Amino acid sequence: MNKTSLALLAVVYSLSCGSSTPPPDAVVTTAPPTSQPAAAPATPETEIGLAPGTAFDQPAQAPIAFNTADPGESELRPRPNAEFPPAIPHSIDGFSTITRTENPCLDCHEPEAARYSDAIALPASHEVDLRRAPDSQGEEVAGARWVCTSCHVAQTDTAPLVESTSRR
Amino acid sequence: MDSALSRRDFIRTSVAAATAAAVGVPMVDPSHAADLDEGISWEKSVCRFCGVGCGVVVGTRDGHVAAVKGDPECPVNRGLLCVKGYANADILYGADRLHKPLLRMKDGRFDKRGDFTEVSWERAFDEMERQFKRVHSELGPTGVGIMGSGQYTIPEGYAAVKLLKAGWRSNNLDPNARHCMASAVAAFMQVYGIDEPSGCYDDIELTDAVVTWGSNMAEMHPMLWARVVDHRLRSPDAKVFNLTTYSNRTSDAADLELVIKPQSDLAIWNYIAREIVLRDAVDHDFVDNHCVFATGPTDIGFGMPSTDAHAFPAELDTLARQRVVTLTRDEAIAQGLDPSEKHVIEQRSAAAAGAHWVISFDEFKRGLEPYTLDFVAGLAKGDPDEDIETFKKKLRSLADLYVDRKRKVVSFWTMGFNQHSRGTWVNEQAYMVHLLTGKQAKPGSGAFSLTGQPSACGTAREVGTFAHRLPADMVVANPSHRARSEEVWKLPAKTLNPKVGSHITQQMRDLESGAMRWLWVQVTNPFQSTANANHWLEAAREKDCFIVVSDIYPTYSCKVADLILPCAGHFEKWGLYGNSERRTQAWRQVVDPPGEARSDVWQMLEFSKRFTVAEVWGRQPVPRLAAEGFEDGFLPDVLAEARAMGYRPDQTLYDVLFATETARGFAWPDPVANGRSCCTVAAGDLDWFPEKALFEEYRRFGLDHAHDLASFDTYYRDDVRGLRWPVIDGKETRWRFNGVYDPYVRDGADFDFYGPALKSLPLGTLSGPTGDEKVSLEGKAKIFLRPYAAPAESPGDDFDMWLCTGRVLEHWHSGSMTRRVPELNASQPRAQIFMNPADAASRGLARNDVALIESRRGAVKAVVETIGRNRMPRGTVYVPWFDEGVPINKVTLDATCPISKQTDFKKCAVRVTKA
Amino acid sequence: MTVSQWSVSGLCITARPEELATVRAVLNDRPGVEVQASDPARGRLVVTQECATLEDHRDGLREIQALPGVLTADLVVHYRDPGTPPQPEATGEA
Repeated sequence: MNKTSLALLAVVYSLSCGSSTPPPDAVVTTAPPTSQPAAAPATPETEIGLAPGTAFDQPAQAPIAFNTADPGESELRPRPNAEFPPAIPHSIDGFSTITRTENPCLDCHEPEAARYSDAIALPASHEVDLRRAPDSQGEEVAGARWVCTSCHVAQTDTAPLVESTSRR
Repeated sequence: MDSALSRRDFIRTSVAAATAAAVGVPMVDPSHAADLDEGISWEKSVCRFCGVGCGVVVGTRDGHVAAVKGDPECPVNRGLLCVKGYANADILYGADRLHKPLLRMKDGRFDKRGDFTEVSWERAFDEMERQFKRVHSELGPTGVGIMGSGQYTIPEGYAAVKLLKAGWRSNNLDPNARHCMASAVAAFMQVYGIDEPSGCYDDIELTDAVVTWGSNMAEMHPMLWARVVDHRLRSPDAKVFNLTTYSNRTSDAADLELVIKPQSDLAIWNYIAREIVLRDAVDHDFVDNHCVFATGPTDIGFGMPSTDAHAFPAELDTLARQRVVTLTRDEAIAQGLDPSEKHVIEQRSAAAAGAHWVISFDEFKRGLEPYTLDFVAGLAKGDPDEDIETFKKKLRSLADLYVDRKRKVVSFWTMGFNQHSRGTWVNEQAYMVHLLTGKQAKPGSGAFSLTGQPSACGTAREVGTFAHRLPADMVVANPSHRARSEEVWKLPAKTLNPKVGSHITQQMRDLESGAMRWLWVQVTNPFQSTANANHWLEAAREKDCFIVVSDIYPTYSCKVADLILPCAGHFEKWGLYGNSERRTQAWRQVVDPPGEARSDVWQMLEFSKRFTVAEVWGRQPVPRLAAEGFEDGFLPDVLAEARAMGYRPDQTLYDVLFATETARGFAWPDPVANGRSCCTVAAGDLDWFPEKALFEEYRRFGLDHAHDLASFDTYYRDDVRGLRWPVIDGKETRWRFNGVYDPYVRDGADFDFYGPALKSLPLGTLSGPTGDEKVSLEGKAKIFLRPYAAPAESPGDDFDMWLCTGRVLEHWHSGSMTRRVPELNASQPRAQIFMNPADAASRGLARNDVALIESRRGAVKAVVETIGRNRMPRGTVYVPWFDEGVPINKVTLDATCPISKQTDFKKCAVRVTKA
Repeated sequence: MTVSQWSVSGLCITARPEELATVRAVLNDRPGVEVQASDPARGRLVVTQECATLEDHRDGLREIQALPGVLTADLVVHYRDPGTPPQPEATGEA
């Protein structure tokens, strides 16, 4: 019995679904031999995709390595390009949420506040209302940018699943 | 050098770099700045991801996408993007991009148990063709199918429709968009007789209240939510209400949050409607002149298989509800029945769930009577820890919002409504309330369905890549629609198949039953995205079937494929998308695809060369086909007429469908390209421009049918950032059905719901139609009465919690692109199970522990999250589906709305334990 | 002995594009100020300013904001290095 069928059995068993895997129908259809060289690179299905194993395997899970650094404790991570919003280098787990009236990010990153702390002030571009007055510099964060976490996202300590070939 | 000074140099340089980065100024020696800029070329384009349809500007250097930024000229997003949007550049550059076709082989031959082996395109198509013809000769056109996408470009979707429906005479083409907005479509057709929203995004800045129903816009439509928040912050009297089954980021910035029980939305709408009637807030002029009342059958099942033949034993009890339902107490009250009696209802109308008839206003009011505040509050309160009086107060505030004659209201919804076993009903109920109060098709007011995918509207719906559809809202079952399509496509009469094909979930069931044995998957990842996946994974691997997956990366679906074809990615091909507000937007190819990756259009054109007309246009078996003018069970031989039309039997589908004389008239090179290349042209060594030819032919369907699109070249103009159809005399339409804005409204009418479909109905009462005579409803919209109905499956003893699935901000759909962007992966590395801390504690679980999530259908493991973006009420858990390491769709239930056939991914019963 | 407050701020300055060259020269002449990067198309300069006290930073920023041709000047980054020993002469470097 091959590995796929074994894995299937395990799934069926875990569901308490009864006796055994149904016998496969006419599964293998073999083509006439072709002139394809036998030495072409081959990849088993277990190595296809981002989760190792077959689609019937139960992928293992381990705790996520959350970033627990407090604000100011960690370096800014490099960005893929100059247009990409900087990631949040610290934990935001303990922060209150961004509501209509409260914005915990601005408590430190609003320019006036940042003047007296080590926080990075939000840039002048964030105080331009691009919809209504794109040519004038405003004095407070634009409403469309109020929800900081739409662009700036927190990071865990997780290695890339596959390398990026982007020219960074 | 003095160490202190050297440190200062370092600090100064670091501060300068941080500043420059924060304000987007390149940190280079100014003397080289000119060189750097010279290398980058910027061009307007479109975001690859959600249904919002943000405009982007894409920068390329040396044949590589260097960066993407928001397009300040695009009215949708005005220069801003969410974090995914900025990652548009990087989604092309995962190191495991597919470069060559991969075929399962052993000892140099195709073998379903073989390993994926690099082969030439020629070899790949040889096997595809051989397997197709083997299945086609045994089963006919219904034995083959294509799973398509709401992420198809318009030319891709159109090529798929034409190849499958006109060429292969099959209707087994259905998109992942079936999972996304089929319920919205069904409701549009039933209410208005024509698909897609009456309003547009401009409503956001014009409204006095936004109500989100089952739509976590803050994460799923972030740039549209940015507009809502922006408007709310500057409008002190405006309101934002969020109805949801758990607290989320949309709740965070809302004025009021209502945490409701799954499926109780049906009852809440009726409560609001009842209040509108009681408080005399009906806009009688609007209703009398432009609306009728309607209802339909309630014994319609849950879109589950009608047979137990392939069921796991544990599924049998849920499956039984497809045939017979014992009404819950709430259902009995909601339907005006005596709740002390037992009501066992056979689900007789499952096959005709969409039937409906006209009722009187008095009947409509009678149907609303049971939905009192007390009844609905008891049924709908979703947080067991919330006080009932508090919840009642919230319900009253919600009703107040809609009742207020002076207040403009927009209701937005997404998957909470559409992925719903009564999805069509709940969409219709939103229109019920907006039509009753005259808050529809007006600037700042309207019920507005938001789509999930970038071209769910533009391609899946407008092109009609569905099992029942043809372009421009036409359907295969309608003889005049087939005739018109045959005319545009220059086909012999009766080439097109009148029998509706298999919807996407049914295609999976067909694979399992053996009714379909050849499948081509394009621009989607269905083995990760289809509910109850254990069945389909097993069918793919164990049944005699051949599965082709075209993609840019090796996805979860590729694991169970037999042949994998490498595709061109977003900026590597030409395309057009249509977003949620009917805006069609276009982009050019700006870089070449890697290796031997090819555009989907090229793949379809090239594969079509392998079929002669004689092979597919002869007499073909179609089981259960029964249509006027057709022999039962068969499509006729149309070769004689084809010959009379000038076709030769040995001509290929490429010749007759794609490389037609008209198509070849769209010459390449084309000035619209502005010097850019086209990978379809390059790979095919063509002197014509397939994407443009396909679009221009497709456009003919919509002209003068209220779906008018502008010309291909118009969308590429520098001064155009998409246009909202219908585009008449170069002008877009912002509010349809409204005489001030919509040129299709009859002269002199203030409103005209002119959609032509389903506009002739019998009269009846709440219990059913009273006669066969039909009345014409020309120009009218329908106000539906739809009762509360319990879900297909609810928590009980063994499986005691609700499971809801969905997306997260950082990942797009199944994560195949976004998980390959290091920054997005590091932000959301794995799907977590969000649960209430008390629920976790009572199961011995703490944050970041591994939990086992089991249903009647399957089991997965995930780590527990008890804080953060989603705060769950006790009794409900949320697991996003982006992570193939947490394939949650092994657990979900494949119940669908019986009318729309859209799966309810938002509710099933699970058990959660410590793994 | 008092702890030094020597620190560096990173400023983003927007100037009228036609006056960018003049503004650049004026800024480079100010003590402790150095133009580090520019985006002429948008009339933007990135500048560092080094000062001994926070008050000097604030005053310097205000003076820059008042310069002819300057539309906006904003503090983006501020860094104070607690480990730096007093180096009074450093404020004099241009």
